Amino acid sequence: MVAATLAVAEVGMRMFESRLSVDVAHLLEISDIVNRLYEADGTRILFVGNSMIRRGIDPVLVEKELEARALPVSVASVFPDASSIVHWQYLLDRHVWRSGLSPELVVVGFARDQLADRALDRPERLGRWYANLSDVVDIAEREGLGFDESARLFLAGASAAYGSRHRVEQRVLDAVIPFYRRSRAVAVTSRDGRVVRRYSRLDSVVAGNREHGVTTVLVALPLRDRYDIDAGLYALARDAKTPLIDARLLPGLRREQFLDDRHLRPEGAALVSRRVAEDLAGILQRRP
Amino acid sequence: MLFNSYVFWAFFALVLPGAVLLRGTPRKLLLLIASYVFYGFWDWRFLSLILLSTLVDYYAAQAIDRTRDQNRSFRFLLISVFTNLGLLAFFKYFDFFTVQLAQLLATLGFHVAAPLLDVVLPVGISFYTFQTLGYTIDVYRGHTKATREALDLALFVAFFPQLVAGPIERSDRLLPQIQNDTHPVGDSFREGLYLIISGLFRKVVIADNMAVIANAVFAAEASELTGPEVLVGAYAFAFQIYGDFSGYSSVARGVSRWLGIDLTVNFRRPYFARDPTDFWRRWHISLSSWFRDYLYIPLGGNRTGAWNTCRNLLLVMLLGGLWHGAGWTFVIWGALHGAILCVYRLFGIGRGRRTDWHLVGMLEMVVTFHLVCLGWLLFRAETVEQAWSMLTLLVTDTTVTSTVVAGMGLILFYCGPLIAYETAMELTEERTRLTNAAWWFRGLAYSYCVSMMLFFPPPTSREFIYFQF
Repeated sequence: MVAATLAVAEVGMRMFESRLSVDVAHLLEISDIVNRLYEADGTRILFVGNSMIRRGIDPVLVEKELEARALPVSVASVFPDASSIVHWQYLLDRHVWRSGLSPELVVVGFARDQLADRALDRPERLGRWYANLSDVVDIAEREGLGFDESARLFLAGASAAYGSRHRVEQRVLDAVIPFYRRSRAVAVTSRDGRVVRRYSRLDSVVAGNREHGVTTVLVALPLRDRYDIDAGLYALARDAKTPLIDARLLPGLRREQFLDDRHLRPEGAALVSRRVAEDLAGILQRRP
Repeated sequence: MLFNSYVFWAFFALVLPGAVLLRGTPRKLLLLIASYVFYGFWDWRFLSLILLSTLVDYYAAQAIDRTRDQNRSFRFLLISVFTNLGLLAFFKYFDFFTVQLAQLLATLGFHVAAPLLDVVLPVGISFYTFQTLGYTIDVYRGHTKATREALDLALFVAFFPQLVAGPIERSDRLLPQIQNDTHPVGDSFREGLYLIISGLFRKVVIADNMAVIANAVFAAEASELTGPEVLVGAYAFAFQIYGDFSGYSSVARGVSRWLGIDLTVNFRRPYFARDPTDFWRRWHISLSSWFRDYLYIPLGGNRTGAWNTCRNLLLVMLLGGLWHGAGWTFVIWGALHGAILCVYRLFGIGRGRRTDWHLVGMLEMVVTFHLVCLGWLLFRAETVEQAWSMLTLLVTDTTVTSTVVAGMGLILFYCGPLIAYETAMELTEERTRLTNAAWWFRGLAYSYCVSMMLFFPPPTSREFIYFQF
């Protein structure tokens, strides 16, 4: 009976997973997004980031701005929620490098320390969305995962129910427990968020892109409160000859144009998109 | 290796076939090696302490058994006592007592630099030292015959399911099973499955999710909390520690049943206790009975008048508190329980009680539960000052916040079904135990437990609380 329950849960998850959240629906279509971009005309630009890219960059506006500068482009975005360089590294490996569907430019949008090295905190997420089953051993070795974490990585790759279980938990608790979302925010922020400010993962991304003929561009996105860019990141960008667009402080961008501390309203996104398009124009014009 | 880890079950999957198929010495050797591997996974260096304790008690018990001279026997007993308690004292209490002594000397005007060693606490030392000490005391008292088989004693001391967090087994219970090489029988699988699933459910779903709430409350400054928030934190910790510890004991018993060994019941629905004495008959039964048989009764128990009884109770509870940890919060927690036990005894509260359920009985349970929660507040607090601040908030502030509502909602969500099940068990004197139910109902219950473990895991998988003792 237990096995039957688990089987029903697995089948049900595979059938209805996309309804769990907007983010899950997006994760399921990343492959198609990259495919469509590859088959599009003009210089192909892929924005990679998290919900800050979803809210902060308008791909249509970026296309229009660049076309107005006689630079025909096709723009697409992939933006898994709450992701960082840990996930983007594997996302690019799976959907871009290994599939051979490389755009000309990959623009990585970030804020604060999202590009700094950090340990993998949820192997399930990686296993479900960013890695193939055959990669488990390699990833486990590369990430220094123990037996249990490797098992979680493998199970998440094999089982949709296991891989998406945290989302089910959040949906149910949000629905059933009054004020749950507010209390969860407190618990999350009180966790230890120590980050080692090294950039070996970003280095791998830049190198991997270069190997596949892709130019990497970094974009520092604005937050409601000002933040500094780490000197180490500047040094890496300089040494790797990777353009870094600083969109943190834009003339005309006001606090009221933010939904919360990090996500922009449409009018704020328009400002940022225009600024990014302007800098991308310069980068594209300088390309050989 | 934690019971709630994949590596443990991979390890157990390797051990189980051999343990079921082999007989006699090869089987015992397999279990012993597995136990040492299990313990060595934490820190192989501390295997030497288990070996030392085993060897000392093996020879001490033999010597006690051989001699007719009472004084000589007593000397050998003392060797065992000093070795085991010495190990415990050094590894667990050296730094604590050194600091306290330095502070005491400082108040008397003598300033000394406390030589702290930062000693690493070996996992499970409080459990196996008490277990093996109980063996030599039982031999001294003539309750148990000293075993000549070193392998049997070594396995008694190191048997892996109960090595690091109990139950603390008695020599007249576990040792004969080892000596007789007991194997799984008819209902061992069903019983073991029930214990394992229910134990993992209590640990993974209840304890680790309640830990999120408890940790958030106890990590906050008192100025950031309201009285009801403190209460929610205390409730959350009450279920965290119960789920954690009873869950561990249950899995230990379940794993042991699959190996053919029957371990002691360590918890019996403690939050249904009607008074503090009843609570200690239901909570960590193996430890409370150890203190009762080896300390409380030898001191005179309740046979030498009310005040001596109180003295004995206070001493035992103080030592019980100290057993849990080298810190004043644990000592005060023990003292609080001792004081409550004394008050109940001196005023005859709960004597002549009806055994069936009624309104007064339910009130008694609620009062006892809250007295226990008061103790947990002390137990969990980082410092005495924090405990005091939180206690003050409890009586001075009644602001109900959204955190309180969410916290209580989560406690009910996770713990409600278990509370309902245990209520049924308590009302029917365990006739509604799941193992007695129809196969389809058991299947449904197990499906619920497994589904909860799958879909409601905690944000972080945690160690068992009692490992730190």
